[in-house]
Amino acid sequence: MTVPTPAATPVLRTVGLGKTYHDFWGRPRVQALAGLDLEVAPGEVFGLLGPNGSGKTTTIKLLLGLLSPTKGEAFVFGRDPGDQDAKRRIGYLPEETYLYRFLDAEETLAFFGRLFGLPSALIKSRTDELIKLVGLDHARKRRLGEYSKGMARRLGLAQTLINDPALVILDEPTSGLDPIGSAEVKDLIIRLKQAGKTVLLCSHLLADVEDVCDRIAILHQGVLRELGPVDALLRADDRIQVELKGPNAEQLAAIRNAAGSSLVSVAPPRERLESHFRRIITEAKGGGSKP
Amino acid sequence: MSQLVGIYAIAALSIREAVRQRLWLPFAAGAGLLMAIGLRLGAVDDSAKLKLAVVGITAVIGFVTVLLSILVAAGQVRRDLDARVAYLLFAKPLSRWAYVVGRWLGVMGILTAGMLALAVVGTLVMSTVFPALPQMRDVHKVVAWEEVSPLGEPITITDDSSRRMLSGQPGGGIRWTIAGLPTEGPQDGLELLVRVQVRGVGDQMALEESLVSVTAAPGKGGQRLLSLDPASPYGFGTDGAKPGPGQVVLRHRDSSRNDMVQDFARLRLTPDVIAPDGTTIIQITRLDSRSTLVLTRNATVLVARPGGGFLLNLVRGGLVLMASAGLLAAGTLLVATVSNIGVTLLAGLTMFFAGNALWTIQDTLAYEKLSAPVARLLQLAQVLLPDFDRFSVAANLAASQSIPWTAVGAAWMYFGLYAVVFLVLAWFSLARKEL
Repeated sequence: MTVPTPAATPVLRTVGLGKTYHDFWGRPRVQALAGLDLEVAPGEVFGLLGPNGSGKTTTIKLLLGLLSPTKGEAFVFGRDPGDQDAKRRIGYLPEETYLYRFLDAEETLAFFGRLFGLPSALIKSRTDELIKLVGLDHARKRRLGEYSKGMARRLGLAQTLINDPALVILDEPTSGLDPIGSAEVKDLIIRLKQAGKTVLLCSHLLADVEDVCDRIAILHQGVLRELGPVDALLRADDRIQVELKGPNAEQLAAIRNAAGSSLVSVAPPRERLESHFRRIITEAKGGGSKP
Repeated sequence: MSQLVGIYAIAALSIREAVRQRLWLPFAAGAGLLMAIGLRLGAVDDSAKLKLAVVGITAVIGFVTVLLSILVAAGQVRRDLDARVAYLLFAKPLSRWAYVVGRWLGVMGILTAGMLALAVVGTLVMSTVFPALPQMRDVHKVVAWEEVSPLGEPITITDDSSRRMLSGQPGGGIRWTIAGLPTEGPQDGLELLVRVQVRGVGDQMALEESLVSVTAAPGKGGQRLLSLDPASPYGFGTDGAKPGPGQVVLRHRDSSRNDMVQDFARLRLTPDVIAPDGTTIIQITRLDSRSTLVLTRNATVLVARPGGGFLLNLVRGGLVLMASAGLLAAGTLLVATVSNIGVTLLAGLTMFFAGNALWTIQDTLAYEKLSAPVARLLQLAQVLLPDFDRFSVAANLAASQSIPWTAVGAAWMYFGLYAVVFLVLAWFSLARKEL
């Protein structure tokens, strides 16, 4: 995986960005973010990690101009976060699906398309394309009030892409989705990257982030704790993993002897639960013989 | 330009939201009420029928538009904020001012559609109850008046009183100057409507009619006798006796009897008594010593011309009512940006009731002994509160008086100014809001 360098003109940039929430009397109540310095390059999939209350969503809201920083600055496409032209190039999926329950899928996408000033014909074609992409073709005329949480999440994802954004901000995109849906979202993120889009992924599901992100930042209590490429951060330089295809007992014995006391473990690799689950469901959908 | 698209999107969303949430039900209920009024009108005295029908229709339109303006504005904006849909909206290229304007226009769109529907239902009800719908009249206002002594000498009215009593020796009268009349009106002339209060004198207390002469002239001199319109509801005397040329028997009509079709004696104001500048001077001269006449500056003589059909005037009246509903919607929308749904609804209703009770503040200030701070507070409220009784739509329509476009414009100027201030404050509040 090629990791774009942040040296290119950044899509997102924060300089000492901080946010402190105040109470009614203006007294500081909680510091949500303390001096965040960050750059995200074009075409990069950037993960923002952290436990609940670490400042991830606050960072996103600051980048979208929904909150005003109490210190520092943020730039989106080199502009102020409130800039309407910058917003025109952003797709945003909030942490929870905030959509109108009285609209159906088509009307929802058409409404958001109109907010971007897209022509009617383009809205129609994008709507058809996105509804199919998120697997809601069978429910396109149903009102959202009748949707399950996962279906609403899928539609939320579709509205994120209605304007074919250059920057996609996803806040916990797999929240409420089943494992298949989560895997599809991850596939989608990879496809977005292949299409040259920049993705800011905010999640506390580490496996999701690890699978798709080029670089990550880890926040804790509003402070940036770590920043860098995923591969570099997770590589354990003091260990080597050797995988053999169909080894026999002699080969394993030879390895044990050669490694001596530095050997940590010799065991068959485990399939990841997610890929196992996907395989079972795919087989079941294909009319497999397993019960 | 891009924000106009956003405004349109939000306004269209508001209308769709209202339809999906069945907010048309109050309009349907209103229409049902109008039909019920139509059915029950048969039990009412003929002379009161028209007035009751018109008051019923305007009351239903007014009530439903006011109620919905508050409900829709409060509900939609609060839901966006409480359900956090606003996160998503303002992450898009939608300015907060465009959102405020879009929501307000959406409310107005809903009200317009509902008002038009109720006006049509109301007109249909009227047309089933009455063989012919009343033709409305435009009225020209009096610009000056003076008293004339029994000897024909003019007496300037210097006090602020808008009423004059004529009694004693007959021959005295009142002259009214009316301006702005069309100089090339219909050949048979404009309508001159006359209504007075008649009180008997001495042993004639029960007297309810009085003989007068009605004359007009383009200038101070040369008054010409005006003739009664053959279709006048009265003027000929209760015994059917025809009065002399230029003489009219005026029947007692107090201020509550103001229907221009049935409560006014009708005469013809021919083009030869109108000056080239559109001015005429009308004089009523008291001829009967047995009665006292009470005449008013603005309501005794009216020059009227056709003011359009009933439906058109009802729609114009509806637009006046909508101007006040627009103010309420804007005010409610403002409160919705800063407080919860309960407070927002309460604020909208309070604003409406306070604006309707302005006369109590005026009375309190005029007749009560108040401490200085309370008086100042009430004076401030009097200045700041919008007066919802300022444009009397129901009374005008019930009197067969047209609602001209100028009244619609004036209402929108008056209430619109408040609405603009509220919308700007709502935008300011929303712009400062951290989501």
